[in-house]
Amino acid sequence: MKHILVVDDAATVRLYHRNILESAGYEVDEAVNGIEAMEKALQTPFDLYVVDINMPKLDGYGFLREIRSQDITQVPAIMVSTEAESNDRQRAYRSGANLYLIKPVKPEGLLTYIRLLLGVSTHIRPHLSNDKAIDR
Amino acid sequence: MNPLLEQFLAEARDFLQGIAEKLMQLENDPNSTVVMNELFRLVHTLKGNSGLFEFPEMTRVLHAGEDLLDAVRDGRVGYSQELTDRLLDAMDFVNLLVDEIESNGGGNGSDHGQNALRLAESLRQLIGVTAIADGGNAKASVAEAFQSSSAPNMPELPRLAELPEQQRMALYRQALAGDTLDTLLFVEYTPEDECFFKGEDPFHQVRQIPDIVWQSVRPRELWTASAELDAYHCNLIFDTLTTAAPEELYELFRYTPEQLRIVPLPPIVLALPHGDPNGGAVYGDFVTDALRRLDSGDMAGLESVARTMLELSSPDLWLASGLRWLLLVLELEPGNRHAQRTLIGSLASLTLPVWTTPETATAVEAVAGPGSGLVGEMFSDADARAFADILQAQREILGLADSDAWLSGRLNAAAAALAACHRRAGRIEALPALEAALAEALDNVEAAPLLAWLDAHAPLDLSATVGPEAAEEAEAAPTPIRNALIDVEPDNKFGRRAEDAYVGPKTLKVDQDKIDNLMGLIGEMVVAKNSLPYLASRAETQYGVRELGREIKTQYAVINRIAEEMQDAIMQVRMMPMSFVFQRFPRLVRDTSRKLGKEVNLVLEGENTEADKNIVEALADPLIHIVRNSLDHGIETPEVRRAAGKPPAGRLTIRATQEADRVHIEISDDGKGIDPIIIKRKAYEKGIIDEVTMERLSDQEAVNLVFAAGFSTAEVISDLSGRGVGMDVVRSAVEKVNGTVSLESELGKGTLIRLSLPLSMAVTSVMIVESDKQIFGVPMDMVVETVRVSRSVIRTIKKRQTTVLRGRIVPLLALNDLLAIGAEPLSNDDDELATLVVRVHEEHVGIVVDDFRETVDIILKPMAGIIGGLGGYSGSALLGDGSVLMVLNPRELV
Repeated sequence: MKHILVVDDAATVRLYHRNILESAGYEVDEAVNGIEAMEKALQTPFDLYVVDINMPKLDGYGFLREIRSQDITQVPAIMVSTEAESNDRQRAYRSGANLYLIKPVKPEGLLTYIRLLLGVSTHIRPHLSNDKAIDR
Repeated sequence: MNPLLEQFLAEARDFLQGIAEKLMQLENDPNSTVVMNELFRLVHTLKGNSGLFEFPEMTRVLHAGEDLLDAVRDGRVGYSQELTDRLLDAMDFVNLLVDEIESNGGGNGSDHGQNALRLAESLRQLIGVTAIADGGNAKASVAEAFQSSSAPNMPELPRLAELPEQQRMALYRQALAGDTLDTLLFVEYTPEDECFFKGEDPFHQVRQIPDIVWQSVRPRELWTASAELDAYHCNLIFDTLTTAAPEELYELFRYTPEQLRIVPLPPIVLALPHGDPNGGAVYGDFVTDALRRLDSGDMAGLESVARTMLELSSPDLWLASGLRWLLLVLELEPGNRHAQRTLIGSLASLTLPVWTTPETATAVEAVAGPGSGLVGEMFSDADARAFADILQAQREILGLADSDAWLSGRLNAAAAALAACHRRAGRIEALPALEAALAEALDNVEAAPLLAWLDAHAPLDLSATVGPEAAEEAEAAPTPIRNALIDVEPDNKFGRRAEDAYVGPKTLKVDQDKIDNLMGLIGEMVVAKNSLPYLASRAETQYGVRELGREIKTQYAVINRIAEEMQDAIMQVRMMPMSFVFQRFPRLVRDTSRKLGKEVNLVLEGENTEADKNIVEALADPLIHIVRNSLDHGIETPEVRRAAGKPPAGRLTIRATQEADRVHIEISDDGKGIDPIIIKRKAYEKGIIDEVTMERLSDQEAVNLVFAAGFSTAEVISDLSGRGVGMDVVRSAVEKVNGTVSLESELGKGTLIRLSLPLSMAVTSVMIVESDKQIFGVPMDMVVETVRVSRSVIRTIKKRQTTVLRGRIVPLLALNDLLAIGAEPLSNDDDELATLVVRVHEEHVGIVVDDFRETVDIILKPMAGIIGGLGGYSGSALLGDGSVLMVLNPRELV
């Protein structure tokens, strides 16, 4: 199962993303700021990060910069922001984001992007796992 | 309510509290960038959260607040008190919305649209001229207000073809001549079903749109048969094409923005050929020829064959129309190969071209290209769009010209993203080359090889011009990257590594009901455990098993200790800092003093003093009342203060301290104090005291009269205090939680009010007394002493039985009389009466009972239901043997 880290200081947004991601069968972990995210990222091999920009202690830019300076560089990262301005997007890309999305992100859209960034072809649907069980 | 909304509401409250605090801090220290940034972050995050739901009013106000704070943060707007005022108003409004959402379970508080607009406007006013000049910004916010234009989907616009070709061509020309490409807006207005009942006139409204280019109306759902048609039900959608600015639309539809969908259109969508399709097939050769010329970049040739073809065709043909468009596009957008190709394709297929965003179209084309036949089924249009977006993003990332230390990490990530999405798209044949490009890029620490790969494998028309340039830039940039990489400290600043233990969040939010429930259970356990000593003694006396009795007692000691610790622990959970109550005072004092035209410095001390949640909560209202009183009646206006030789700003101190098992709160001001003479006169006028008492009262006693029911000293009834509820309300509220209140005042110097409260009211110590073979509890903190009074020293003064105790006259009341039990008090063998002396309102009263029993700690349960109205009892408790103890409330009883 693909493991995704959601980094956001707002619990509501974390829950929102968790609901979307879990409904699609992903395993979700959360961090409330860049520092905590860094700690978790160093500990767990995540498959993707969904990162907010504005956070206390260490913001999303800082987190991504750290990630891209580490050995865990190749994990794709989606940065979500409420800012539509292009210099924010550039900053996000420069920090190491792979995609910059504007909040609120529509569930279907987010999942489409994630499927592409993870290189997986489809949702993990319940009936698929059933088939697997039968095969075994 | 769904958990997401619940989470949002709980968090929103925290944020609002935080925002209010920061605003107060900012008022004291307007230049603090730390506070400012934190404030911005809070408003920003709250706005973001609200955007997840359909609360347009809340989002709008918060958005305006955020913009304003952003302007202040950047120094575009100066800080002012006005700013704090308006932001506080706005946050109050948001708070109100939160309350409403909570109370109606997620329903939308839609009557607030006007207020939201007014507040947002008042906030934006402060941003003022600067914001209007900054057109881009304003536009962005408008766009967000409509929550639409960010949607990447193009509306389905085949009906645009209804517009005469000449007009469309003129528009296309006009749009491309302008500075911006998105001046053309498609507006879809969907009036509410019930709009006719709200006095709305959608048709009139939609005709008000300025600069209408084209307009049309269509049904939302298929029309039903006329017999069943509900004519009062609006089933219309109005489509409008306009060149008006989004701001104008926003203004026009300001009351119903949610019914509007605005999509900026690239001008190319106007290019829709029309006409008679007959005769198209003859020109098949032309299409092949045109495509060949387009591919080889022979634009002049393409234009010339198109022109020749046009001259040969009847102008009414589909072909002629398509050619006219092709020529126009070649003239105005020579670089837009995608559009040209699509138009040529349309000539061949004789169907309307499907205009989507250029990137999307190319992606679809690329994906559907040769060698990817198996993809078709599972790779939808949305996937294709997302694919194009991701490619575009990676292109942008790789095009960044910089030499950051983490550049190789970024290259890695971009390559990984590209690989993943190509895998997903089924284009695995491109992956080996990507790997090679990545290796080369990492070796040279530059993006160029990856960009080259991207251009070779995912060519985009758009990038054909942008890509190489960016790559050159990247190459040209001076890049001492190797050094930069070495500069990275091997010990990163987080210090921790995988082997370190993960530290989870330190606090846990728990529903209050759960704590109360736990508390109740522990209380029951305490009571249940109290039955063990009874059991032990029965084992001994009734069954004669002494050994067992002793063992039960030993076990009891253990259980007792654990139960007490549990009780302590749950008490600790319920402890709350006084700051919970104190935090609202800065705002209260600020607003109130401003309203009264007074200057007040508020000093808060001991905010971290803790007490049980119930106590802290019970304290909130009395404290607010006292503070208001101080501001209203105590502290004078600056002029009066100056005349009295005091500093113009008054001082109000609220201090909390803990002493043994009680919390003391002192509220002191340096105002005019309380004049005992005025108090006496007022009390006399109101009939609270008689003439004799008035003469006899000491000053301190006179001051205490403010606690008497129905007393208010204000000479002018202001709208703050003095609405007929006075200090007597404060006193009864404090006494309800077993607290006391006292007041000291010095005329001209100030007033000091002292509240003393128990730390917790969960466990109450009561003395058990017996009367007429029934037992009752009396709270220990009211008991002064227990004495046995001989009948011989009881006198009757003013028809009341009294006795003298320690030089003090103490009235005696029989409990039997107070409770209307028809029995005489029993005296002991020496003809003495058991008398419990209690303190009631600072006076000592003797209650005559039959006998005293032990004191016990109990969990007091307030009276509920029908007997809740019995003032004479403060509650009931279960005793160890399972019997119920009624606990008296002497204050009400006597």
